Formats: sequence, C-alpha cells, structure tokens
Amino acid sequence: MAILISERLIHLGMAETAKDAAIRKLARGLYDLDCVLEGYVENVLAREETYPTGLPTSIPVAVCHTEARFVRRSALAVGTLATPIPFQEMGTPERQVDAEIIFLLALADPKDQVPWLKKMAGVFKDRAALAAIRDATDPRALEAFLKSTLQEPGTA
Amino acid sequence: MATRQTLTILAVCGSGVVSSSMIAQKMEEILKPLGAEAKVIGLLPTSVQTYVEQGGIDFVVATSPIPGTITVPVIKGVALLTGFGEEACRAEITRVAKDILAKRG
Repeated sequence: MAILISERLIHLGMAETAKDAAIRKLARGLYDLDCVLEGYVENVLAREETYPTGLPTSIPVAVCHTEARFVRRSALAVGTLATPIPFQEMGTPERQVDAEIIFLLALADPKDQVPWLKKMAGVFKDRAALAAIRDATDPRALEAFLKSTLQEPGTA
Repeated sequence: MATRQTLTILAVCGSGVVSSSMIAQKMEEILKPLGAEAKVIGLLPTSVQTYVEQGGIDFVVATSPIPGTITVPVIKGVALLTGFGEEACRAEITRVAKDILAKRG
C-alpha cells in the first residue's frame, strides 16, 4: 500500500527549537488523519534517545520513526525548521547534526515499504532534492514534489 | 563455471528494518563485482550478539552501536545513507567481503 503523503502532514518553517516539540507538532497530523495509534509519538521520542536518527547529509536531516505496532496506516510527515535543531547522529551518538528537515515516518509494515525506503535513501544523497524540500514555501507544491520523488508511478 | 557464492550479512539499525532496508540493496551492488550474492537479514542491535554466536553470519553492517562482543567484522553503514564517506565505506565492505571469499577458497 502506498505511503500517505499530504499537505496536511507538512509543516514549513517550523518555529520550534527543541526536537521533542517539533516532533510532537509533526505527529499531530498523523493522529488527526488516523495514521497512528496512541503511544506513537511517545515511542518515537523514546527511540530517538536510544537510536538517534540525525543524518549528516549535505543538508542535515532527522529520520524519526518507531515500531510498526504503533502505526495504523503508513504515512510521511515532513517539517522544515526555521532554526536548525540539534539531533544526535545515527550510529555515532557522541556527535550531533543541526537538522534543517525532519522526516517523521509512520510505517505499518516496513518490509512492504522497502522500495519507498530505498527512494528516501536516494533523497538523502541528493542535495538538490533536500534543498527543494528545505526551501519549499507551498505545502501543496511540496506534497506534489514528495509524491513524484518517492512514490511508484501509478500508485495513489 | 563456479556458482556465485553467498555472503550472509546482518543489517542492523534501531528499528531492525528502516535503515537495514535502505542498506540491503547496496550490499548487492557491492558484492556483485566480486562474483558473490548478498543475503541480508535485518536485525535489532540487541539481538546481534546471540545471532552471530549461532553462526552463519559473515559480517555486520550497522547504523547504530551494537552492544556485546561481536566475533565477525562490524562495519558502520551510515555513510551509505548520507553519501559522505560512502566510497570509503564501500571499500571497507569490499575488502572484508574479499577476505571472507578468499578464506573460503
């Protein structure tokens, strides 16, 4: 099943300066659209502490997520930050990255989502794509961009 | 003609799936020129030591620290996701893979 990508799950130029606040704000849309179950955001925050997801990509990002059991329907929430927020670096927690974009993933069945995850991995290495996301000013346009970049053609 | 050898690789990340899935495809790319195939298993960091102790694992690629003593090579794989240091990471994986294949004879 395709990942839900929607302007209702996109927040541009977020004013939050703390990672927990930013993640909670991004998660709200996932709850509103019934994509996630109670406990989702608490588990995302807890996971971020033990397995941080900051990536030192050309434009640093965070890729927050948690286990499938908190997810009803796969979706992607994206937030761009007015001020970069420090996240510990994935695999090297003694280092930090100043994330400019937060990708908040809700994956109901990650094994199902492998092609999509591979496309996300492609985006991480694509500075132009990351810049397009970070500098977006119109949520609807960003929704369209993300869909064309991340989804298989022909899916909803 | 010799059949392609298979290397069994653990891809380890905090969720056991997300980063692992992203890395799995790269393993095939890296091993193909060596005449080998990759069998990639996604695993949580806390499960690795026990899993490796049971045998059959050639090496581990991880995007999070792994607790315990791991008796096979463990390679940090975040570079494969970010693109920075990716060449060095691929070179290390290639070196480890070649080593294992050579020892098999």
